[in-house]
Amino acid sequence: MPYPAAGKALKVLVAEDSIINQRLVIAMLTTLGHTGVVVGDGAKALKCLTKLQFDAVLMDVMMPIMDGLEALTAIRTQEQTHDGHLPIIMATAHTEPGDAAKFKRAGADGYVAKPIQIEHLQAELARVTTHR
Amino acid sequence: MPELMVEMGRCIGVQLPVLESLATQLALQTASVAPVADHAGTDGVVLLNQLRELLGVLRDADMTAMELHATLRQSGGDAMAPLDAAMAKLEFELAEAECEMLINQLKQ
Repeated sequence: MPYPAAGKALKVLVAEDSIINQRLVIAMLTTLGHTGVVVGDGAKALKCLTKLQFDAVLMDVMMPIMDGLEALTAIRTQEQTHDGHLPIIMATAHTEPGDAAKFKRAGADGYVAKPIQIEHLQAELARVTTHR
Repeated sequence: MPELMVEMGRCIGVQLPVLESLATQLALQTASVAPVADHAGTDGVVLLNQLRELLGVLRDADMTAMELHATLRQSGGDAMAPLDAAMAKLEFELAEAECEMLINQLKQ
């Protein structure tokens, strides 16, 4: 088994509008021993988070209706009035210098470039869910 | 090597919208003709039971349907694509209809 599941199985909310990327990410999470719940945009991610508990969020930056940065900001704003901190990993295909710093300033815990590499996703999930 | 990786990533990014469109069309076309799954026997029964459970939760318009769907998302092959899409949009009524259709296909 090339990617043995390390640690506990995580429940990850995946906010991603691309059907192909949804399938790829779910396949990766399954390979890593995790479970992914998929929503197609940031607004639906917020709605889902009001009802369900997750260990982490993998948030695409560019999405229709509400993009990843807006959703990230909304989640962090809500957390100011509620206890807890949900680890959020941002994902973007259009990498530019300073992206990681920009996402961190907005409240992201991690960052993966697209196309997502399973090793990178595994490392970021492990890092953001254990080192907080 | 890094330059090649960057170039490959750029090419994938350019082609991704086209691939997505084709994949969506293919999924819609194959959904009506593709078998629900390659599973036979016990696996098919398990999938059928999972879909029935999902249908029950969908009828309650319960967000927990998202969790249930996540566990069976990769069980049904291409025929599950319309259900997957409806769930990702939180369109539970559409998902309910898709779920019923899959159950009927499995029962045949």
